[in-house]
Amino acid sequence: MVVNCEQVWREISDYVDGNVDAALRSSMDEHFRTCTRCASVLAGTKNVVALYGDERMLELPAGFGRRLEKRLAKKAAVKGSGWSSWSAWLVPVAAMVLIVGTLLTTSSSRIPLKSQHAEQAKDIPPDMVVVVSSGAKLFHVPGCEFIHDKASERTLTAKEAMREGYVPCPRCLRQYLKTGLTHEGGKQGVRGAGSEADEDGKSEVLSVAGQ
Amino acid sequence: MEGLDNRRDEESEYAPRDFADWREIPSEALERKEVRQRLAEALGTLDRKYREVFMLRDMEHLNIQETAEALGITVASVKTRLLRARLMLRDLLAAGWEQGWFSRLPFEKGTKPW
Repeated sequence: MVVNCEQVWREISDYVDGNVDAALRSSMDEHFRTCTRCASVLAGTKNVVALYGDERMLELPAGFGRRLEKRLAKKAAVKGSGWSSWSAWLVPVAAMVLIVGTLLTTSSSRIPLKSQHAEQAKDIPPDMVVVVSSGAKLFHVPGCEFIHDKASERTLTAKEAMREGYVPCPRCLRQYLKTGLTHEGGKQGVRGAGSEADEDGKSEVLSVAGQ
Repeated sequence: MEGLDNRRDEESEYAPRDFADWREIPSEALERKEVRQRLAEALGTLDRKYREVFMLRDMEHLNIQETAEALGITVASVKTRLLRARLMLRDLLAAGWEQGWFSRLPFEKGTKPW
């Protein structure tokens, strides 16, 4: 099978995710070896996935998370009890993007945010052994694949980590966030899911980011 | 509700805007707040339908099915929007490299990240 550039661009996202079958993968591999343009598109796409997938990008300016949270909360309200278990933590995770973002964007909001999160993470056993790494804001279960700098890992208890201002990793500590955050996040989201929920808000994002 | 216009737009062919010679951008780039802000700004220029799919899939690391259910859209729509979002961000970032966002990064002497 021979693929052309247009076909490669159409499949490149699935290729990066490993979601193309073996025959297509090998055709695309062959194409990348000979087509510098498509090799460039592939490298750039991989960069995008790697950079934005880093936990440090959860430190986004407030705005993204808030709107996403509202939209998800609105869906939760519509669907009611039909929401499956994994989606219940989406609202809190979106909220965390917002919380972490705000935490790092404005120092003045540090105290209320930390206390808010302390409440949300209350179901995590205080003596649970967790790890943190320098330069990051999350604490993880040891071995979590989302620890970004394993060389600077430090082991401590969940209570100590929270006291130092770390917040739970939404991936490896998902189970605790679900019970600890769902009610609060959902309630806030539904209450706010009115007129603002559908605004696009680009200017807000840009103005925050540009400060 | 996805209007016909949206669907047409999503299904239209995408062609990358440039073919700059990209290399791997080291994750240390993210240590710089300016870089994170630029990335956030680029994300902010995407239409919401693309931005939301991208955030849930590539930042929150949900899988395709979970992203589809969370947003109430089809798996096919998630895949199409994700592809578009990734390629649009790639284009935006490529322009950024050329404007020197990463000029102070500690790359090896004489080696550029693109």
